[in-house]
Amino acid sequence: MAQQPVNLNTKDTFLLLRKIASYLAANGVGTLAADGADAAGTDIFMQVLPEAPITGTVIVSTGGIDLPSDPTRRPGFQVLHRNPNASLGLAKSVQINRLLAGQWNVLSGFPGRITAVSEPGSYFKDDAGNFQYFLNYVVTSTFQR
Amino acid sequence: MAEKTFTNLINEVEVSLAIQRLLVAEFGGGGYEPTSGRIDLDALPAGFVDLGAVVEDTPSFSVAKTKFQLDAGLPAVRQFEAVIGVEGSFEISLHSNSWRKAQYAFGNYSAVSSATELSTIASVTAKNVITFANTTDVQSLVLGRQFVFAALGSDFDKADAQETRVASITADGLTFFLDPTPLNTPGPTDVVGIYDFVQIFHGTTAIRQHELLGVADFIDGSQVVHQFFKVVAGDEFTEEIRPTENERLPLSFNAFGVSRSDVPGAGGKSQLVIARRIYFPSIAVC
Repeated sequence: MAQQPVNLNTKDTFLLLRKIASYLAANGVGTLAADGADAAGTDIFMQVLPEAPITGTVIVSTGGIDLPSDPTRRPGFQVLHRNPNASLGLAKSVQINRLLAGQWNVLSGFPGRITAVSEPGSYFKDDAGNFQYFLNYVVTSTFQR
Repeated sequence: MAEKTFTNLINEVEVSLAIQRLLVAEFGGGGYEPTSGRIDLDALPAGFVDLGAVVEDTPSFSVAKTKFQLDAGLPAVRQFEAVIGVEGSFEISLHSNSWRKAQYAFGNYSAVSSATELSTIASVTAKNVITFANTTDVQSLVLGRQFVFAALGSDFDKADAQETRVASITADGLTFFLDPTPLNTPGPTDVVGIYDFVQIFHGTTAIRQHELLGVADFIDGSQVVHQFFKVVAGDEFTEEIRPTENERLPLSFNAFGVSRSDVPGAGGKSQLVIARRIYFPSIAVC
């Protein structure tokens, strides 16, 4: 049986992550593989941050809010940036936050607003001693279910 | 299966998000009439100024009817109603401590800055970098000095004239770095001016009249405009300056009636109205 083509009109959560990753890559945060998969030379990922490269950014779905009486959708996502250098990591986090926080209609096909849940800055070290910065956002959008 | 009421399907073209901004003009300036184009904040209708950033949850447009009501019979039931009054108001708070915005809240006074023109900008490198032709004219533009810039021949006292401060000056004294970065890029022939103070009095019996447009661009491309044809400042003004949040300047306006002959259903006869709501559908991918 022939494989079913992926319906790119389906505005699901994965596509939202893809749009965010593309947006960040287009604005100089890093490099994203054309198909979104892990590839040599890329440092923006979706859902899973691979062990290499050490300096990298991953966009993770965090569910979000579903208000029963509200026809708008409010998916959440987290941007995690890992960097062996604390100040460079913070600088990258601030750059990402400026691109996302309070922005309207920056993701094509996803009309809506991105709201930051916190300011950039909080971090902890992973097992290898690298700094991991967490940025959390909610998208308030009218895109279809 | 027949559709049930509990499916409650939403027409998605009617669901969207927006923030409403406030445009103000002096009453009697010709008035705003909708055309095929929606209101563009980069090219405002003639006479209107944009009062800038609003506290997002505060815009409130409301109108209320007063009715004569006749109940008759046993038991007494409503048998007749007639509209005998209509009133409206618009309330909004701005992120501002500027006299340019506060004057609209007071309702009695048009503040004048009487800014002194210093010089014309010679060139603009970036939104926050401007250069003058000589140092003599701009000697009073020291670090931290707040100044206003405006197009050549326009008015320093405009409600939406832009102000910023000097952040640093190059060694030759000609190029100025500005902070905060102005919302709009200074023009290469804009003039720069400074003023020492602005005073606005509470009191007097004067009441100024304005025309209001509340403009809301929805993210799906549609736009809703609330228009009050003639308003005066509201009855009360409260200014609360607190250390825990930026100043929020509350504005409120009460609507007056105007006579219009283009009200649907009135057969071309003049009707007294106070406001209208204008809806523009999306016309392009936004």
